Amino acid sequence: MTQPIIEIRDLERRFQLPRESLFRPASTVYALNGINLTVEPRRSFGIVGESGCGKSTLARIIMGLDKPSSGTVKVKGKDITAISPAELRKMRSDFQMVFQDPFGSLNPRHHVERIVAEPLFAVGGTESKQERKEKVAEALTSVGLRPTDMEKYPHEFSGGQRQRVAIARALITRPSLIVADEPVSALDVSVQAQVLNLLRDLEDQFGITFVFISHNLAVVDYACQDAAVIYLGRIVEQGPTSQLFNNPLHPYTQSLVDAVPHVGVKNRRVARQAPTALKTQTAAQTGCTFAGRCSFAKERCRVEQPALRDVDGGHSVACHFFEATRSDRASAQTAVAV
Amino acid sequence: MLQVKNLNVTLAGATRDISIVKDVSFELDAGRSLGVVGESGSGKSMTALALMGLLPGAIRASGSINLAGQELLALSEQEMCSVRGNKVAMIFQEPMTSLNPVQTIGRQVAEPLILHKGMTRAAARQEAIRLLDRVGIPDAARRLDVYPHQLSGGQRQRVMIAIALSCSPKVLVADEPTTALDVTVQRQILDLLRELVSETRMALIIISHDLGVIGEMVDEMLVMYGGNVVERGQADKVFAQPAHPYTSRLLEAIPRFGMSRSERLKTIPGTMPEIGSEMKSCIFAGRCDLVCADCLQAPPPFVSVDDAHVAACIKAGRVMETVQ
Repeated sequence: MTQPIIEIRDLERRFQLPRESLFRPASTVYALNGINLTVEPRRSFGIVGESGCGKSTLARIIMGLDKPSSGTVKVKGKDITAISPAELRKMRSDFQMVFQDPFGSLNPRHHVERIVAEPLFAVGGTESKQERKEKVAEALTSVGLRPTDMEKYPHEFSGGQRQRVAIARALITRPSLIVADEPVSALDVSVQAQVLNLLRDLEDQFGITFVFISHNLAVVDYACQDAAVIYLGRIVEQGPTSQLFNNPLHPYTQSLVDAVPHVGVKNRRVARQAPTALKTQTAAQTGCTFAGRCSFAKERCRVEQPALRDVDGGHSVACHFFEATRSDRASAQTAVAV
Repeated sequence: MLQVKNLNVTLAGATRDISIVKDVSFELDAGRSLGVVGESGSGKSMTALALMGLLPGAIRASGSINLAGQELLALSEQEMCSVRGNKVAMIFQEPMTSLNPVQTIGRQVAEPLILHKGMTRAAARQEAIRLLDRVGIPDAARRLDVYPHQLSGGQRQRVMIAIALSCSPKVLVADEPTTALDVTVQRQILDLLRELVSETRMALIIISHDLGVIGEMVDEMLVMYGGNVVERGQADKVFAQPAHPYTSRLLEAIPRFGMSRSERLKTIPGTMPEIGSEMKSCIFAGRCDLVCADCLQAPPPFVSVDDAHVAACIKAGRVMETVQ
């Protein structure tokens, strides 16, 4: 068996809120709670959830930009929470990040050559100026830009091209892992398609594994082989995307899938809706985190936290009653169809 | 009820006028909905701002916007103020920035009621409670005195909708109403808008880059590209049989559930021509895979493919055949 590229065990990240009253203890937000996940090499992994669920915190922790409160995060077998900053810096050449906003993540005062070469300086590369230029040219070519573009400044590019520059910057150190936090959500539909195709080409060409964070389910379904759905800092469902989105088991995943607007399905009545909005979770409550919004919640859900259990072949779900909700949903859908 | 004819939006430049929106025409009846779809820079938001008389500085609208017999473009700014928020209302993309952060939401909902309907403060407050309750703000009477930062994004958008509804507008313009929201919240807001349209018989104009949102919400739609309308028709027909190559390629570029991994997304090569570039050819010609010599001669006229379904393409309606 090959070594997983990312292995996360019992990850927890708590944030202490400022004390509201002198006479009460400060409350704690559980941004991530008991996260276990494994990303296999060359199987791109999607992380899905609503804003505030902790998906970006998870990305930052995988990149070593934030420290977990407890638990281990192994990237290629090395626990990045335990190594020194100098070692982490060296390892970074093997894992890079692409951010959501191609306008904010590129320094407007630097030309593209400097921007794309930046990681080489950061990892303490020893190449000559000429070699660096060649590497930048190569990276730009592989994202579909011209080598001559390296003399330009970010403002001279369109949104899609800027995102390509950001991807070129991530590519230049030849990483085996790229964490992409909402890489296409700021882009127009036709440009989004170009960037998604590019990411897939890079996957095939360089054997890069992507960790792809997005709120757009169809994009994750297209770009990734595996995915996890996070709700309030916990993974509620996880598995191959083909199963996860075609046959969602957790009521939360179902409501997400149902909520996506579809072309040509006018005035569709939605079978499942999650009634109220996401709340941040303070204090380690007992019971299922989704119980308050779940239309299937029973007594057991309020007292016992459901564990993530494997249902079939790597598809796992954290719900006590997923069998029941599945059949309910099926009948509800036939009712809607009729 | 709302008739827009040859609406042009132009920016007066130093040397020449730059055309931002060209010849937009449509009609909309009470209780009906229209979707305007396009990528950034297509002129869809400028069209919305022109309808509201909110175009910035040096940008001018010409043509005709006729709302129930009243010509909006002929009104003075002062007269427009009595129409805006009263007969036509708008909700914006960013519920965070479009609400005033230092006023309670009760005051903001009551403002148009006092201004346009001449209600007393007390009466406006009562009406504000009813409106907030209608848009699904729980415990509305108590929430009147909270500030926008105390509400979630979805709730803020509900407050925006309550403000827009306050004077029972004839037309509601929603510019990307759900773009900043999560999918489950988006679903609730879309359902709310749909209910309100059937309840109040107002006309709804939704502007969005999300074809899914447009596809679910509207009766008719306009597809805009580079400041021009390239296709217009009933939404279900446009989606089922796009007549313009741009619409067709745009639909193919969206990732769908259950696409196989070997399948590549179709892309549209190139980029949209810059605003104001003078085109002697079809505006899409540079990116179109069906382009022929005739396309480069002159901008194409609207070709009718079906009942009230038109596209600005000389090959309109044969787009699908040619591909297959």
